[in-house]
Amino acid sequence: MTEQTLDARLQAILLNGLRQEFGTMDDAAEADFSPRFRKQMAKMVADPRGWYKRKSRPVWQQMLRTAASIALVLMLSFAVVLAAVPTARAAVFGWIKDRYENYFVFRFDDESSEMEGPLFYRPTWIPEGYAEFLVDETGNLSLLAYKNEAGDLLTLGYINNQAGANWFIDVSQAEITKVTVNGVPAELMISKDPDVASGIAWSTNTTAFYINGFVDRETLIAIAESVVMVEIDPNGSATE
Amino acid sequence: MMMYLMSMIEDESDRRLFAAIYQAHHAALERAALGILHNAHDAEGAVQNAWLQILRHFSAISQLPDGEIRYYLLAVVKNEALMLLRKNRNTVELEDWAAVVADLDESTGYQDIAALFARLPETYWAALEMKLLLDYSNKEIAQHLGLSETAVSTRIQRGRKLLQKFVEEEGLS
Repeated sequence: MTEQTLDARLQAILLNGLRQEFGTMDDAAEADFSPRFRKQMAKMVADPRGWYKRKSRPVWQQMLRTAASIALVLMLSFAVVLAAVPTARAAVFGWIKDRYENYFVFRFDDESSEMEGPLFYRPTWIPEGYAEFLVDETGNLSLLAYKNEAGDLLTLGYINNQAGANWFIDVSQAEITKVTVNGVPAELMISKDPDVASGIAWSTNTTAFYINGFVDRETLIAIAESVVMVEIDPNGSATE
Repeated sequence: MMMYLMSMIEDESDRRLFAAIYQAHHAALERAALGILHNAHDAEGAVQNAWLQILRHFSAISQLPDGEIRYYLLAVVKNEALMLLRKNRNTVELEDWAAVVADLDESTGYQDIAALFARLPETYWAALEMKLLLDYSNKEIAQHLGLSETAVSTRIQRGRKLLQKFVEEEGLS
């Protein structure tokens, strides 16, 4: 018996085992899975190639992409190219927040202000079940990510005063509410799409913050209010 | 044997075929994952991972006879579900290959070998299914089983040997 013939026989045996295992399974009806899962499957069927590419990225890339999409698009730019007319503006020391129809821009507009050196922040409270997943404080935008067992991400992004820096936050899929974080005006963005997380954005005199995650408004505010400045020791540990 | 091809959905006709396969078999995959994991959230993850694997191997799967596609897809989702189950376990179960080998040496007929075959430890079955039916690489199998590639090779070699004896005995029976 050649190896090819043997392999064909072995495949037939394995296939027969699967027939015995699943042959009598009642599979006429879909399982009672979540709307979020059903939406994912609908996206997959509509565009299998695109879905595959997105889902087969390495975890860290997916995390960054998710962070970007839930925070809705987040980017730094050193060129101010805005055609729309701001409908609202809030200035808190060096940070100016312009609100457009579909996005916010945090813009640091105080070139006379001296950079105080790197400032680091941590939330002192996060919802139960979340654990630190990633800390990246090497670039202009610092990003901390937390993940729960279900794989839901919670991220805190912050940027210290950067003259000329723009931080765009796409809010086209969110319902905006004005709230406060420790007395500072903030924008709460509750997502209308179950695949997109909600967020909260605010700024102090030195730093603009953005938190997002698949959590409710009270939780977002509670996390935001727990954020404190910390010192980072040479081992990377944070202390208040 | 299924060929591992990276090309998957090339055009609109492939997309329609994929949609038809999804429509025909998605409920079976969901039920199978739920039957193994008994938890909707984990089962959703296993099914999603299974569709990723199915897309990766779509060129080969799309050429299978209609009657076989269902079982190939079920093999994919079963192995994704079992991978999650293994990850969620806090302990590693010992698999008694030595007992199988001892019994194999004493087995003289088709029925004996068939009984042994049914007792093959879980990771041996899984490694053989993934290698021979789904044409996964040893690296992919190692990731699924939480084993080294060497351990995967050992399982495939041992499993082949047992299956070969089974086939030979089957031919004589």
